[in-house]
Amino acid sequence: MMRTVMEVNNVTKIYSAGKKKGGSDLLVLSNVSFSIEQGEFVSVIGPSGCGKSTLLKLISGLIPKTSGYVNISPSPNNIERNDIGFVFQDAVLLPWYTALENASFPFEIMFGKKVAKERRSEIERLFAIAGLTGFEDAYPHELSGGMKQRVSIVRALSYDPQVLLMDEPFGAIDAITRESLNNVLLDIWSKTGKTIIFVTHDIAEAIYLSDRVIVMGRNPGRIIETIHIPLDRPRNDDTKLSNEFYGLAKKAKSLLELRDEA
Amino acid sequence: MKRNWRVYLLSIGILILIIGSWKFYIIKYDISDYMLPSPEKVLFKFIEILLDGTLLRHSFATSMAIILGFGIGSGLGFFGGNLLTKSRSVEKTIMPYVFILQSTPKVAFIPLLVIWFGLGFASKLILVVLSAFFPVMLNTLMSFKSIDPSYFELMNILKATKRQIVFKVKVPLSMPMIFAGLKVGMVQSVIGAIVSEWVSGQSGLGYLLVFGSTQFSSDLLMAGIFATTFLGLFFYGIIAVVENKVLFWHRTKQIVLEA
Amino acid sequence: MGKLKREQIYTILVLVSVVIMWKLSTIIFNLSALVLPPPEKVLSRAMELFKSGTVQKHLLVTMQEILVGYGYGAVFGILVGYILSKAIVLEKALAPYILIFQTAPKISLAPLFVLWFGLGMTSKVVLIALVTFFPIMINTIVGVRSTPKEYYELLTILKATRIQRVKVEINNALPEMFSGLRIALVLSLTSAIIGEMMGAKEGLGVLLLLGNEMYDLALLFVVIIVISLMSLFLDVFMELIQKKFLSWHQLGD
Repeated sequence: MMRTVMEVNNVTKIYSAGKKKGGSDLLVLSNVSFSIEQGEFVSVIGPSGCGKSTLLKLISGLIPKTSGYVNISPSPNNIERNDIGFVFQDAVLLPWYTALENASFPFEIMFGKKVAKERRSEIERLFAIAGLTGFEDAYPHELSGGMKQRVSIVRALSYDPQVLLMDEPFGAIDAITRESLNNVLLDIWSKTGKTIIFVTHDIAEAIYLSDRVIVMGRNPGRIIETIHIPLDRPRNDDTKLSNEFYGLAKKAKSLLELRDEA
Repeated sequence: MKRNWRVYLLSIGILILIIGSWKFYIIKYDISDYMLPSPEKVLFKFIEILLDGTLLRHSFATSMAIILGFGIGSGLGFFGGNLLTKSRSVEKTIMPYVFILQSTPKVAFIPLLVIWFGLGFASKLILVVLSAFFPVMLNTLMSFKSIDPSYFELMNILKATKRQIVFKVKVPLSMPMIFAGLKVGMVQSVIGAIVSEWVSGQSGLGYLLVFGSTQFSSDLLMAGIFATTFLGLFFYGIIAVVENKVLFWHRTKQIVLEA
Repeated sequence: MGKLKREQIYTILVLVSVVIMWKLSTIIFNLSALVLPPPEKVLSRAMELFKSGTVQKHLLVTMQEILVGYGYGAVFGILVGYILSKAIVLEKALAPYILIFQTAPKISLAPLFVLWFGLGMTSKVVLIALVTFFPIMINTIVGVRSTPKEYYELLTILKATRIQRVKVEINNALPEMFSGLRIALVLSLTSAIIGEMMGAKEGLGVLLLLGNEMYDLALLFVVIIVISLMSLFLDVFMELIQKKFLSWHQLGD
């Protein structure tokens, strides 16, 4: 039986123009509602300016909501104080720390350096899943963009958050590396059973990864439609060549274009 | 390896060429010691003042002002830069004055400082503090402002405390730019100390330079010039070495870009 | 009428309150003009100095020294910088000396230049040229060396002439060169004043020493303010030129 992990209810974001007269308030997100089941992989796509990144930041609490609420059911085995893992577009690694030290940085913040060192084996296990074994002691400047982003994913998962939010994590990475990273991510997902919300502007990437794709439109930012992706798992290169995949992509594309003309 | 040797040889060759033409020029045109002493005379003079303790005494006086003044000035600069990032409107209010003071040659204050604080150590110290303060403050401010906001978002997600944000992320990430400021500040501090000693000093390498030139003792003057060169290099070197240790993770492509 | 932003009003208020506090402290602590002259005395001294043409005369000398010295420093800095950017072995051989000169307090040479070139403008011009030469040269080297390999490949494919190549290199190096030119301009004012304080007959540095010897604090205040405004003017002037030349380049600051 599926368990709802997160509920987003009527979330609205208005940037007020300030106290000065003349400017008008900007409605960035209008009444966004959806819920996510335990272990689900959901992508959010939409044109730039539709507020998809803002949505993630609202969910994570990085920026305050104007109205509406987000409920995250606390995880039973999350002994840390955090339900959310966040992966940014850039890896945002600390350049003076090794890959392993970076990945255990959340422990350092939560419990201090000593605990961070003690929990090395947990991080090493995640390193193995993410294909980072052997790079534990490498510094960020010695790693490629793709490897850095793997480290930042491990960092976000290190403290076993309930939900993993990913904000165009592979947006700055070349197409070939990106494909392999997509497979790494699916591997991590299936092995950890995480619930993931993945923001991207790449239709194929969204469909390939997800159980569901939320399509957003702009002016104001809102959900246009949610597409279910019934493709079999595990997915591979053949998945992308299937008619079914093509049909879903076409549908998503037409939804996005429709919005653009309007 | 082979190439490297060629470069070293060329380096040494250039030095020999310079000293050789210096010596040759003196012999050929019969230049007086007063106008240009020969290289060996300058060397002997240097050794002489090194052995009789003159050089050490004066270097010590200059170094004390530099160490103390640079320490205070860069400390205040770091603190001030940090403070200005706290409030956007305070920053905007003060910035025009900071920019004007920053580009004003600090040596212009020497005559005023001498009247206010006398011919001794105090006016020299204050000038060095001023020289170090501005570059460090500006670079601290700029570097704090140029940090990728994602780092702060990350710390937010991890529910880090304010202290953790400052000491785990903000300060370490600013180190490359702060060190660049420290280097500029150090070069300025050395200049400030020396010029201060011209006007106000009873001791110090700057005083030694003036003493040499008023005594028409050009060999002493030139030995003094070399001494200030070594001093400048020494203090700059200290910062460069510390930087290398602290910023092992930062790949600097640039050579020294500052004055 | 242009509207002033709130912060700009604060900025002016800061200045006003500093002047008021200055005036008040001279009254309350009954400070003599030998310790802190009141603001109106500085103002009247300034008017007097400007009316008699004293400030203008010395300012002009300093300005002239900077213009000529900086001119030499810039021309030689760019020229030598370009040559060294191409002559890699020579640049490597010279690197230790460049580093020493770069970090050494070059102003120490001021007494020697006075000895060699006398109390006139020449000694100051040489000092300024020497001080400004290094940052300009080094930034030119860094700038030219930063030309992307693809540019050269493109130029080769297009069968560009030698002059066209140099043009591309220089254009690519411009942002770096300008930052060197700007650093050097600020330094040139510092070295002009230092040189004049070491030995000169005219110039703002001489005026500073005069104020020191006569205990004329009002004169010192006036000269320091003039020097400040001059440094500001030079920096703004340089920024304008930079903006004109580098309209295509995103300015970092």
